[in-house]
Amino acid sequence: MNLGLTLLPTELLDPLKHDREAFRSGVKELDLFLHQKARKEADHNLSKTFVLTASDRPRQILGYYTISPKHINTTDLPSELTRKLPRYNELGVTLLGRFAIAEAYQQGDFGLGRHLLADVKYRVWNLATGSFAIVVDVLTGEKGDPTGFYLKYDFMPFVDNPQKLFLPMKTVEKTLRDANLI
Amino acid sequence: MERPRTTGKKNTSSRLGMRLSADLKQSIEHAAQLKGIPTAGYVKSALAAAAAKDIQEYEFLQLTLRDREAFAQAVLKAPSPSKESIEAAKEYKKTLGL
Repeated sequence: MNLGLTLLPTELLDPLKHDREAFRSGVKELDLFLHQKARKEADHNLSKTFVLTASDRPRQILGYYTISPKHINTTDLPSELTRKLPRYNELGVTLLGRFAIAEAYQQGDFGLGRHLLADVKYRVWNLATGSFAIVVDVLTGEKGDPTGFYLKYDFMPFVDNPQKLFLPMKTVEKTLRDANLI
Repeated sequence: MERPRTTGKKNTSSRLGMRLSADLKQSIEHAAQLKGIPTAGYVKSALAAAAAKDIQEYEFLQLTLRDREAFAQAVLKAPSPSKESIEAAKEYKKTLGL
């Protein structure tokens, strides 16, 4: 990936270090979240926001995402299914609630979305024990519907709730192994 | 990431005061009477139920039975990753020198 910039590993949003106000993804809701809500949600332990920066401009946020722990109830599933599950009553998942790339880095060759989504997989695999999948809340904003992007990287839609997609951690694990990341 | 929890000692009692319109107060008292329990007890149990429901709705994804079943199946038998995904992960590794 030749971007003319040296990407740094993503890190937790730090209002003292990162310039939240300057971030523009072109989707108002995602921009406002970073400007106004990300820190409050982190303070209240509702979600964590990770930001992507580059070494020659460490204050500039090139992209960000938020993750939070959630659960999927399994108590009423058929017993032949729950018998095989690690826990019979619920499965832990990691919700990828927001995901945004700065407008200037959304175009084809830059590929920052692809990079940031790989980062999500790597981070969640490393961090979340007891997380059986990544679930994404698809936000269709001014830039259109991003579902196709997630489908390309193995996410699957919930049939009755197509605004939500999921990716089993076992698939993530295999991806990371095949890439020699783990 | 820990879920938010109440701090402080277990079972210490504390007060929650609020101003209500006279109408609302009257209808709460009326409802408590219908249930045959003291107003304070009625308010407490109603609030506890509402809080539990809101927390449950926040912490659990609201999905249909069919979706949750398909989810559990996929967790047990996860599909193999696409070439695209593996390529992206390889590029990611290279970009960061991991």
